[in-house]
Amino acid sequence: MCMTHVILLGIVGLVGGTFGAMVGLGGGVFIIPALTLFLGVPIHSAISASLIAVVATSTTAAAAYVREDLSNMRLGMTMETMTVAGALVGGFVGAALSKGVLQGIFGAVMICVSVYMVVAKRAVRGSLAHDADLGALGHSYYDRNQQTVVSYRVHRLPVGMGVSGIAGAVSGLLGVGGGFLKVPVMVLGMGVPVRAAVSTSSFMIGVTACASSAVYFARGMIDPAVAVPVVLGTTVGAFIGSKLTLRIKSSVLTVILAVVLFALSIQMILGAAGIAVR
Amino acid sequence: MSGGADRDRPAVEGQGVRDDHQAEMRLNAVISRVLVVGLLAAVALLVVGAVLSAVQPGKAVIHASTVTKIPGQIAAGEASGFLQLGLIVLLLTPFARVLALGAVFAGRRQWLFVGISAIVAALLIVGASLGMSLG
Repeated sequence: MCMTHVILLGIVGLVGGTFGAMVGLGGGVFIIPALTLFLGVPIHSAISASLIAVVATSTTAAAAYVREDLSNMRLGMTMETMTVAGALVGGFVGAALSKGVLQGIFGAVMICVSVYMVVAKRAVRGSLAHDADLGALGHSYYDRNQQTVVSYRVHRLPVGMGVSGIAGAVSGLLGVGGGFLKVPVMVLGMGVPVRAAVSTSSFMIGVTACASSAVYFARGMIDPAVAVPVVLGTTVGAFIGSKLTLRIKSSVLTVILAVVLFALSIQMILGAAGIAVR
Repeated sequence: MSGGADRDRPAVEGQGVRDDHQAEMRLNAVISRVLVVGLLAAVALLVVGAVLSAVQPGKAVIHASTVTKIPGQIAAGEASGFLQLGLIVLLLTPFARVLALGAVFAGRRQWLFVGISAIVAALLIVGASLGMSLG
């Protein structure tokens, strides 16, 4: 493998890690098609490298977000029970489901979600009073951009748990991280501010991806020549992305998230129509 | 250890809220440290493996060896050993974070979240074991 190819793999990881950390999706959405379409990496090597990259993105970004008190770890762990359980169930029943139908359904849903996130102004909710009862899963953090303490209570936990289960079940089948469902449901359904939702999703996705990655590793399906440059690039990118997330406005972060979700939905719908984009 | 958010956070809350926040920041410091240590160790091993791969072009680095071969490979200065150990450390870091969270919650007697952490850890072990055994 020539040095140019190694550098290009690292750049793919860098870009994927930056955006993955910024929107809480892990970066696989970008990494898999970039590796297969532009660098000629076999799909299984691309998926395994992407899974490892998601772990790297999550670990790098979460280290920064947790230190800044942005990640809601209690909420993340609670939702993670359903995501991992969903992934287990999905692993067994996935073969019985139509990947094309799932891609079509989720693609259509994600288009609606992405448009709604931009149009509706609910994404950035007002903060509760400092001494308000936040409940067992509520949290508060200091927003550097707004220079204020943002406090929030978690609403509709059963909805979030259900969506987390679905995210876990379909993520392996669709080859994407569960963050594409968990971030929107946290923001739009559970009253979590977008910055906290992105940080909490980044905190969660590494756990989901590490279980799948371990299986790929045990089966010898990880190609170090592909995975290592991608992971090193992803680590640097996720560090940059986590720093950017701390500094940009929540409204800008919401728009970036909506654009990424829209692009992902188009990718899913094309996949459902039989037009491979990865 | 307190993060930047803690330093910048204005002291407008009551003492009880402030104490709770300090406890949260200690929890954050523990978990962040687990993630940083795991990440740095993994990256260091991967970088060493990548450098060895570059200076030892004759050595095969694309193969899946068993975990038991890794110490011998590292002792022999083979890139494969460093690369695979780096990947293993990276994969174990999120799991270590789950265990660390459970331990911290246990120290605080927050049994609900101890149970949740235990469920996540158990599901991870079951999932990985099933995936490996079913091939």
